[in-house]
Amino acid sequence: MPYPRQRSNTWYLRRWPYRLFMLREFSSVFLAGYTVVLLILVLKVHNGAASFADFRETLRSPWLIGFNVVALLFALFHTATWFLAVPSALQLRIGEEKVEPRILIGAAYGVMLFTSAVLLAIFVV
Amino acid sequence: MTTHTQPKKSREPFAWALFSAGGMITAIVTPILIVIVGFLVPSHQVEFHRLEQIFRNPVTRLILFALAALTFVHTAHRLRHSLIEMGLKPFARPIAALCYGAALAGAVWAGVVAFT
Repeated sequence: MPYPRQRSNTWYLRRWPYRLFMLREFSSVFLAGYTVVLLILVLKVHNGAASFADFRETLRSPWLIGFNVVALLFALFHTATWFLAVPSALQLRIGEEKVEPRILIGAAYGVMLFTSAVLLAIFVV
Repeated sequence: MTTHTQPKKSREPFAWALFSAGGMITAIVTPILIVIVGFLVPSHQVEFHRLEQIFRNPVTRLILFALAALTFVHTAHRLRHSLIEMGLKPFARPIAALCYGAALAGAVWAGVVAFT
């Protein structure tokens, strides 16, 4: 007879590594939530200047500012954990030498910072 | 007589590939996009005409659609697996259907929004 090991349904609340794991998993919900906000913005812009101005006021509501602060923290948490996993997913070699994990992680942050600067320039400057 | 059937091909690798693509693209662009949409737009730092120009560009439309669709699929895949980990294994099938169904609906909506 196989003996199925029992696991409690609240195992992820017990220890910090488990809690962080679940937090990371749920960070994705905020990524999706913010994407909805982005798509609504696009929709309002397509509907014209008045529609956009209305939505800009909505974006100033404390609820949405609060949501965006939390979403930003979760998004950064997602970025940090995702980049940490890059060296395991990408075993890059140059000749015989394996590329060091910290170089891969650094490169990922480099790409992120460069892309962020480009996007800022496109939208704001 | 015994019949030998081919083992059913899993679609799981496909889901993981989309999940990874979504994870990478969101890791790179989401923080700055939240800063722009969530903070710079409401504080009047971004002009309407600039936004109009950006969102009407055919390349932007394509990128926006891909970004939104991949983000939804990424979230669906993660949520599906973590809900199962949280002890909802008996409901694995309806959870998967619900998560991917919602992601698909989101992707269709993103397409409609991006290409109007």
